[in-house]
Amino acid sequence: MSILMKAKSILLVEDNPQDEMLILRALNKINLANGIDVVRDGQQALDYLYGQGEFAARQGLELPAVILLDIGLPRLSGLEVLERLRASPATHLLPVVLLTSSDEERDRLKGYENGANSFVTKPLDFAEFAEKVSRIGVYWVAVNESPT
Amino acid sequence: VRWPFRIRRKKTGTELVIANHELAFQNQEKENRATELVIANHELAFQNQEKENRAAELLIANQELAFQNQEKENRAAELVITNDSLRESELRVLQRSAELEGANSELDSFAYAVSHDLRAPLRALNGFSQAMLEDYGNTLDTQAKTYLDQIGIASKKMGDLIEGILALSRTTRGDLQLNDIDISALAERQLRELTHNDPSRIVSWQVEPALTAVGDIRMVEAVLSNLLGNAWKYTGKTAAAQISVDAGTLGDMTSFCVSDNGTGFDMAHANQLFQPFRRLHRQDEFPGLGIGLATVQRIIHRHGGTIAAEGTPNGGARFCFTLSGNPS
Repeated sequence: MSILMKAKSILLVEDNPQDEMLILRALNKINLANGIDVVRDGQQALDYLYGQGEFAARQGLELPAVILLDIGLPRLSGLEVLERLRASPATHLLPVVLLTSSDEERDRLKGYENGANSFVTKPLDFAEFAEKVSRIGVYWVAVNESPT
Repeated sequence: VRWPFRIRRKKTGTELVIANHELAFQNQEKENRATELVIANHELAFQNQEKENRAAELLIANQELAFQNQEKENRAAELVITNDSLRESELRVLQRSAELEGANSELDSFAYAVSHDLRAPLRALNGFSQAMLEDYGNTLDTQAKTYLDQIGIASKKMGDLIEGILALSRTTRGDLQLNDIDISALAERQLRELTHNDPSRIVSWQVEPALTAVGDIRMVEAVLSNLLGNAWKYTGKTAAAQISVDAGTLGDMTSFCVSDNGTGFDMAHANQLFQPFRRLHRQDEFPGLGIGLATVQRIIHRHGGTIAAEGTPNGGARFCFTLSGNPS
């Protein structure tokens, strides 16, 4: 999970350790060359992206190819993180995929209003879940051209 | 001289005649006056009588007036009381709606928590049992795999229940978007879909044309899809299954009815039909969550309508609903 790898990394922001394991399992199965970094709450995500706090050493490093951002996060929620990212010139174009258990319309609308590039619900069914996660991984690091 | 005496006597005779005349005349006059007086007395008596009658009438009129005044005061007092109790019940209605709104928003946040917090551990249960099957299937015997499958089945069931709770809570949320709805077209589309998705079934169905209503289209879609889905499901064991959608009456109102000739139900249990999670059939007979009709009833009540069900065991069921309290 080195952030020094040449290919841009994927940043996973997920506070549920089991979801994290299942997502990592699915992403690892598709053998992406990209590293996957994991942070576990909204503040950590901002610290990681802006190279501050516990991630001060990261300053000046490349931004990830995509952020997989859970909505229900402690401290700062995913929607709040997204709002901050869009308000900052350094990150306002950064691709963000909201990953959430919620299929609530209001979350989806709020997500897009806050500038999400994609909104994906985590299905309860494992096979579906794994399928979705690997598609997201492939699409955002291998198919999509990132803005920077 | 003596003659004047004679003359005087003569004169006296004449005078007497005259005096007699005079007397007779005066008598006549007296009688006339008396007669006039009698008439005048009669008139006076009549007028007195009239006066008394008028006085009596006035008395009655006064009493009537007093009575009416009293009535007016009573009505005024009643009005004050009515106004007070109106204000009171208005206040109660306001309090009640505030309470309901509070309960709804509580239910809302509860449902939201359910959707997020219950789903994650469920996904883990399902996910890791499947991951185990995928990654270690080779080293597991059949029994072990069966156990893992059961975890998958149970978590799927619980997931469906969560979906059901959410669907139920969503029906109490948001404003009603009222539109003209072509009930017939909607029902036909859903029946075609059911037919398409379940090609092994042969169901003869008909929909009465030109049924229209005013309602929230997404909610009315949910109502029809639940009722038609039920009709489809509960005719699953019926030879020559039939489903129909037509107009009926409910109270004094035109209603929309979904009928089938399926397994039906005992009217003794009809009161349980619309309660969430209550079911009238075992899972191994007809699987289900017990959420559909509860959702249907909520939607219909939100529209101000009513729903009624009729059924006989093995004789089919008929559900009729209206979408407003006002006859159209």
